[in-house]
Amino acid sequence: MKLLNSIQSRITLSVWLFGLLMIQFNNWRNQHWLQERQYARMSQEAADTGSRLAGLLQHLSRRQQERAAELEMAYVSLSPDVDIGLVSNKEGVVTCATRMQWFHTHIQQTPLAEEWRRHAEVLTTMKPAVEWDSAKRKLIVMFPFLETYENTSRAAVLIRYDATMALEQVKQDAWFESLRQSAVLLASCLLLWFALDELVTRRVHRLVQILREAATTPSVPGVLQGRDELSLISQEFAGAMAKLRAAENMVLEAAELERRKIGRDLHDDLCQRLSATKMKAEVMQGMFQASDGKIASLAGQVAEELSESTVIARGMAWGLAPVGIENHGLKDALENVLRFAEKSYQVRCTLDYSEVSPCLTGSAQELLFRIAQELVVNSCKHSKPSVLNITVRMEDTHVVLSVIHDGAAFSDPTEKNGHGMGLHLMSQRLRMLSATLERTVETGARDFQIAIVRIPSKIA
Amino acid sequence: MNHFKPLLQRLLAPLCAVLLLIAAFFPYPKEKKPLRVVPGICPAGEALLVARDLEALPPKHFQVIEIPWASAVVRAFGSGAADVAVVTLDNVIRMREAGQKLKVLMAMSQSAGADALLARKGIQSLVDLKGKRVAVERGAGTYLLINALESAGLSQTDTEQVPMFQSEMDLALQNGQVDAVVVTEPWLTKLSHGGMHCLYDSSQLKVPITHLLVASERACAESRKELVSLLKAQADMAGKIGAGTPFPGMEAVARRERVDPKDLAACLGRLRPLPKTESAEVLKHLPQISQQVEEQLLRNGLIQIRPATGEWINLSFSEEAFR
Repeated sequence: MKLLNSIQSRITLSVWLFGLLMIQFNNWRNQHWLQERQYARMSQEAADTGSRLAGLLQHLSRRQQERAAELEMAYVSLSPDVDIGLVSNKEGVVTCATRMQWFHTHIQQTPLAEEWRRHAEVLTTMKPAVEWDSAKRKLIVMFPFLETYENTSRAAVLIRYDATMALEQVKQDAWFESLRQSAVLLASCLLLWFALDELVTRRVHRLVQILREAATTPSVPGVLQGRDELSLISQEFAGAMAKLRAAENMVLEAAELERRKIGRDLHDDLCQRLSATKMKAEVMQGMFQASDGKIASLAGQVAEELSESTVIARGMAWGLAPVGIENHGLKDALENVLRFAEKSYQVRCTLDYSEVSPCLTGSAQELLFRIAQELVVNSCKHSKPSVLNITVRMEDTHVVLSVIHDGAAFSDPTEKNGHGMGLHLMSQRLRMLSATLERTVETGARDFQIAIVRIPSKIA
Repeated sequence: MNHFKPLLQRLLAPLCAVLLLIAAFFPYPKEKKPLRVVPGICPAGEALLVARDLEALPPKHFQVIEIPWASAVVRAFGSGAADVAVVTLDNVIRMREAGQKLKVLMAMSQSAGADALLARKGIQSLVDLKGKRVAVERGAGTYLLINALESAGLSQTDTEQVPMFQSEMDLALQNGQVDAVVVTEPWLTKLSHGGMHCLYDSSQLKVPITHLLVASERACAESRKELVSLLKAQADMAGKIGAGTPFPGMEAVARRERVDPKDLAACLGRLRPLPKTESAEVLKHLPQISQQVEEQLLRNGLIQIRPATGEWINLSFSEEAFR
């Protein structure tokens, strides 16, 4: 059934079946045509033989050369189609026969009695008769002649032809031709199958592979060589993918810009206002401390909460717009992430950092930071680790970021509920960096989950 | 499919080549013609004719053609109009001398008085034939005639030989056109009734007249199965005919030979059918016998050269038929 699902097999099978149908039709037509030719040939041969024999026998019987007439009849029987031949006078006495045993017997005792009776008028009209039986298997010819010079000495040659063998031969000839044609058809269908496989099936499979790769790898999808329809489809697809990637990058950049703007606004506006309010609350605490201890304590609590809110708001602002990368470098930004993790999730965090900034552009560093941030927050949120380490180093021509923790193994949320926006954004960033992400486990006394991101340094 | 496809791709080219070669060189269908058998109208060939009449030789595979003259039988075989014929050894030698490609498959019978030299009343002995006209059918009587003449110390030149069909001899004798005739059965019986007397017959021959079944080389190559069936049918019918009792189809034989039923028994009695074992024995010694006859024919100028030596006897058919 799988075989029949391919277009290649369906086309080949259709051509083969149609060809067989045509061969069958041709066989029927050939048989019919060859049969008609056999009928015509046999009728002509019978008429020629009957006519010649009647003339010859008239001559020989007038000269009383019976033996020569016998020999003539013997030669008539050399034809494989002749069943039996007799010469009889009008009294019905057989004077000559292809089978000598009928010599001088009455025609009614011979196998041709019925035929003689049916064509008896030939002796009256002296007109020859050539007639096929109803099944068109036997042909009867009856040719009259005069035994002597008297008009009354009438006799006739009666020959029965049997077409059975000739018609069987016709059938066999037609089938032989059909067999030959079938061999040609089969060879042609195999060649067609091969051609379709080379020109269509393999290229369609390659196209499907290109489509699949486009969905999973960051590289630009390849195109099929040539100028056929499949090549055009692949070229159009590659163009569309390039445009899509460009649009995706623009969206990411726009989102990043917006994030920075919100971060800056938070930092420059909300955080300043909160600081100012905090300071005012501290002043109020000082003022109330002298008069009323309880109110002063309450004002102190407000000032403390405002202080914590300011820290959180600054953290959020920094998270949205990591000004540290621009001002203090990637290392400080990553340390901030770890501090955030320690504070928010009570995880002991460490950072091993080798200088990689010269190998990455500013935007590449931002993307790397975002990836690290996503990995750390995700790990803390879902894997509940007790320790976590970030390593950044150069490895040959790649910048390598590793996030290692002792929490639970990573499980893809898209497999559970189909969401995972963070992961989706991370994969977009990875694609923009032409980077790869590999997850592995280091087993031992404690299992460590490792996520390794490799960014080609050429992106720098 | 995945396993099948590479295999098919590997086999595709040779498979297509084979198929196209088959298509290109597909043999033309052989025209299936029945084996054409010419036994001749004589007692020696009757076994085959009776087998045909009794449908032991189906028309689909055998076309038994009745040719009344012995010389016409030889001509039909020589021209390729017949595949199988019943002929005598001296005829086989002449056919081989003419370069015909034939194989002797079986020794059917030997003449034991079925061939004879008959003369009118005035001629009492062979010596009396000197200077007389003797009618003989070429191919059916010359061997007996030269033997008869040699036995009397005469040669062919001592008589005037008149070539004639046996069917014409009765009238020629009556009209006094010839003084003696060489005839075979059934003419021998008919002419004996007409008052002719026998001067010499085949029972006196040193090397008897042997009736042989011969087939063309083409028929041997293409129709082995039919030839084996033919030999079986011949042996079967010859046994029934030679039993000396009425047999199926006897009336048809009498009509064909144009003799009375009682004369038919006499006709057939002058023929000694060769059983399977004796037939094989005769075939084994046929080359030596043939050499003797060849020498005699050469001596009398009936052949100019010895036929080319080579395989002209094929025992495998009779061995297969009578295994």
